[in-house]
Amino acid sequence: MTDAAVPQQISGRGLGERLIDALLSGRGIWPAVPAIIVLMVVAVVPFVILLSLGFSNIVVSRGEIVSQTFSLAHLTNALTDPLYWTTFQRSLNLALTTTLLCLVFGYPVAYLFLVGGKWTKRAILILTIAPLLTSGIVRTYAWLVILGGRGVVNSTLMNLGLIDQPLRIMNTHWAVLIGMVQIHLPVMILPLIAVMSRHDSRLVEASANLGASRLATLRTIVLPLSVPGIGTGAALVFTLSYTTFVVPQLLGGGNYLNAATMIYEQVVFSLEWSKGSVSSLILMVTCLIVLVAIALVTNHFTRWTKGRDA
Amino acid sequence: MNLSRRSVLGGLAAATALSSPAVLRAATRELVMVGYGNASDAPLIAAGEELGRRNAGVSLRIIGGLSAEALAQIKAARGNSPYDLAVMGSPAIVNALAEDVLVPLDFSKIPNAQNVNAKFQPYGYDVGQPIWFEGIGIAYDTTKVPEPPKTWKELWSGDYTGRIGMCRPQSNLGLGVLAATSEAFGMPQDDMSFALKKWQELDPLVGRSPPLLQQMIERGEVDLAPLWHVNTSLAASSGLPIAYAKITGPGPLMLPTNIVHFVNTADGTADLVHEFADILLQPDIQTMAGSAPITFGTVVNGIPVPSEAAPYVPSTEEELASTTSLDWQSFAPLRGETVENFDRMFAA
Repeated sequence: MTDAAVPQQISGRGLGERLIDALLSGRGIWPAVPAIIVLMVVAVVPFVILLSLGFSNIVVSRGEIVSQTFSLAHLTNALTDPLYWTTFQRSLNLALTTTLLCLVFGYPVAYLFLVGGKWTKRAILILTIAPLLTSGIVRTYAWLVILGGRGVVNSTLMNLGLIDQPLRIMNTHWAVLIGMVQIHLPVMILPLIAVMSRHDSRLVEASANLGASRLATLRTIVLPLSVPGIGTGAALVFTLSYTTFVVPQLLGGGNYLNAATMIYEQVVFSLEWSKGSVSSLILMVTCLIVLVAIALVTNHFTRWTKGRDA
Repeated sequence: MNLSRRSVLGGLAAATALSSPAVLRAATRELVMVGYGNASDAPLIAAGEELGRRNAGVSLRIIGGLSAEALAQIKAARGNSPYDLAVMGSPAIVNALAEDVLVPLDFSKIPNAQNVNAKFQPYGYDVGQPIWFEGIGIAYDTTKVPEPPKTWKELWSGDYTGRIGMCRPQSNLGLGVLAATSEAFGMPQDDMSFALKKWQELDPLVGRSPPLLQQMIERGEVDLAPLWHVNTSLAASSGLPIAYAKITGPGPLMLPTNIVHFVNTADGTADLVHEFADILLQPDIQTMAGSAPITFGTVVNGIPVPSEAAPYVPSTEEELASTTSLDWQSFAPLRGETVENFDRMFAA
């Protein structure tokens, strides 16, 4: 077959065949087109419509918007309202603390997975994945049973004679933090395990052969190589914690307000969609800022590791 | 072409099979309503079955949820309501009217409405039909509060500070309690700032919703709290030492629940919605709604209160005569503002 025959053969194909060829070739954005279309229809377009409400005054008749005029008042009101600052600051603190605690508790588990035997690895995987098979609401309700006035914690402390009256744990910031860490811990552990499992175990052996202690090997070999896993886990845990709704709703009590619960109330109960829209915008922008910061820090340390390896 | 008996029968069977979905679609009609999503749906289900018996092919699908969430969904759908009708408390009707998503009912098409006690009918605000009511009183742990308060003002006697729970004002319960507080101290019911300051004095533990507040009492986190009588009755029915006080000054307080019809639903649903509301006001359905474990207060004259419901709803002529409600129209529009002020004072 001559070279000239190939283009003729291609041009002879139908549109459907050429489209499938393009999709399967892996070139350009073609493989992602179906997902992009779905995301545009079900996520981006509704989100843009929602955001537009934050920059307009609307008049409704029989459920339909009959008038919509541009206004920055909702945004400026939100940015000058101390309630918004307090709420978003609380959400940010909670998410960052949760991320840090998940890393502190999750990293040793991932390290144990790296150095442990076959059964240890299986046990860790089962214990990490099993909670994800149940609903977050169910897991949060479990904390209601554990932390309540008549719960396991208070009953045990009282039976041991350590306290006379039940401690008030439920409906506090601490209850929310405990619930958040437990619920999001698997999301930190799994990326860490995925990244650390790819390590070349000969590096650890070489380190030991050269006389490094286990701690030194952990500090100079394992930890730097697991930076991408830490970054991924931190980004996931932060995003989930910052935008979480269920845990503060159930464990925080009625006077605990975070960004997600505030938006829910503005949209559902107060029917003030312009405020809800502005709050969503602030939530999204601040979340993106932190995610970019996590990505930059991760990239910085990953480059440093790569450079040192080279 | 030869036509055998077999080919004719086969053709008829094929034609029947092909046309049956269209025939079925034409003959069946489903009403979709927002209900409670729990055992309280029983009288709605019974009335829906009766509606189906009277109108061949008609069925009722009840979707549990908050009426506030339904309003948000209708708003999101730009008025194309996914629901035909709902059970809705009076303050939610005020909010729904502000969003212009309700079609007023024609009460002449609900003959049983004539049997409704006159004190309840106004709380449908000329668009909804009251079908039953819930009381607002004090739920308390009998092991910790041997003698419950009898008036709203008594809550500020000093005995209950730090022991009491309250509901966020996003809920009808929370909003109503604030209005009752203002009324108790001689202030206008819509003076929410005054009521919030008074509640701040009590250092309350706050429940995000009535069911969550109920759970806080059950778990022993608070000793007492203003609560719907239905929630209290449910908690007590599980064997916990929880009782209900029909608090006065103002009170005993009640909030009627209404049937409302949403805008932009399918043609022909209006007649069915009216008929459904009429069935709900029948004595058999009202008796079912007023009995345990639901114990709604009934709005139709002459329905006896069963003994198990007597601790929760007005059971004597005197009690019924003194039962009152609140001026929901004056403060329901303040819901959003009140929630924000609440958060500034309690959550900030």
